[in-house]
Amino acid sequence: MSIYAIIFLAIMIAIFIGTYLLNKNTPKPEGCDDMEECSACGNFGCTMNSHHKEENN
Amino acid sequence: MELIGLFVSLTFVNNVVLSKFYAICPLMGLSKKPQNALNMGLAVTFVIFVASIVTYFIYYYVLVPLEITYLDLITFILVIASLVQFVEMFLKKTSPEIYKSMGVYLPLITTNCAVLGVALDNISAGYNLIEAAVAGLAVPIGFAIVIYVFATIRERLDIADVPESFEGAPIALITAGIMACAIMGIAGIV
Amino acid sequence: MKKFDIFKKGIFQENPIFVLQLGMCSALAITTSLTNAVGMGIAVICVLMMSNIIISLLRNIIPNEIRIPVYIVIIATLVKCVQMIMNAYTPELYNSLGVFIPLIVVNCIILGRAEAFASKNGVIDSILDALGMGIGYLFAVLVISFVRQLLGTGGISLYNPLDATQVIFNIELFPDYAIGIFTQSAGAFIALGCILAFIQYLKVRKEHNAKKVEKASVK
Repeated sequence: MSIYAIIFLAIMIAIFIGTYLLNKNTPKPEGCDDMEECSACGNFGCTMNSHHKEENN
Repeated sequence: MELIGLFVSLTFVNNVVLSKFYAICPLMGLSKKPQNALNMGLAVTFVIFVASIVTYFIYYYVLVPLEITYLDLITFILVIASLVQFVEMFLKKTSPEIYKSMGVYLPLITTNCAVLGVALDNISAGYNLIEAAVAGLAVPIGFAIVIYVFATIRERLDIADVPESFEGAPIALITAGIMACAIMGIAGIV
Repeated sequence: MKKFDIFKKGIFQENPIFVLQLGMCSALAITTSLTNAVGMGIAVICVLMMSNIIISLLRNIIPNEIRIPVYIVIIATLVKCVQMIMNAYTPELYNSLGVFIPLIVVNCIILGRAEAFASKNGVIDSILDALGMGIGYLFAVLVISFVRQLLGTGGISLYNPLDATQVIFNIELFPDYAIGIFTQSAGAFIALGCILAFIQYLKVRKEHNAKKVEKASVK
């Protein structure tokens, strides 16, 4: 039974990391590069958080 | 008829924000423009609707037959996160217009309590597929209504003369409290 | 001394609920009684501590590109462990906290500390940070639940979180004059709003006093 669990979990994680990387590497369409920074909440899970921008610069 | 009752109950009586306390972060933090609140509501509606159907299928057709239901939490958060990434990528490629208006809010949805909360509630309440789909539509509509109304109220609050101690988050929370009182008034309907 | 500062800042200067305003969903929902607040606070401390330790240990192994997905998987695993342990040993508490135990996964505090602190600092510092932030959270939910329970039921009671039949104390002060709304959702918002306003009042007063002193010194 546990072998299914491991396989299933591996598939789910692979799908997530795959979509995450694909999305990250997809360029933003024109006119969206200077999208306003969202400083609404202190949620670090959000890639729009201003904290991420500071790090890149 | 029962489905309509379920819809009204989840949209208004058991409103996701005001009586279950899901998704307080976006409520408090979202900018004061009502248009942005509507866009956020639209994005959340789409993600919750798809997520509640996908998690239903995965739970009853993969996790239950394999007897690995203890993986439910990890699976759901991964499904939701992948879905959000996929939607963002799809919008980037196909319609820059929609991406421009909704894109800012998409990454935030992964960590929105409401999405995971609805997926978990659907399972613990034992809904069938149609009920899960109705719940996946009713909950985010209730969310969208509340954040839209809240944004319009906060727009007015900006020009109001609020005591210095209450500026910002405190007055916003008390506004939400008064809205919750209003929701309590219709508790007997369903 | 510096180590102690890391620990201390989570409790006061950077209190996750009162100052950073993170993780308010659970803080509003579970503060109906002191017992629930204690249970939830301990659960959050456990998850925060373990996630900070693991992420701090793995910080050089996790590729920078995919760090957020990795954090989410680690945190979800830990939360599921805590949920199963609570289901087994504290069933009453598990039932009264309900869906908010699994929702610790999306609690901004855990991911926030992983991303902002544990991914950049050593294990000892991360443990201290987790302890400080966790105790800050516990302190905040205790204050909120104290206010809500006192006003909502007219008394204060605390049961042993591990065993609901064991009463630690149960004081009834003014049960006839209780304001029922504070046990419901609307009261939660209003109570937290008033507490935040009080904190803001202290801050504003401090600034005013500082300005006065400055003016006096200029003269």
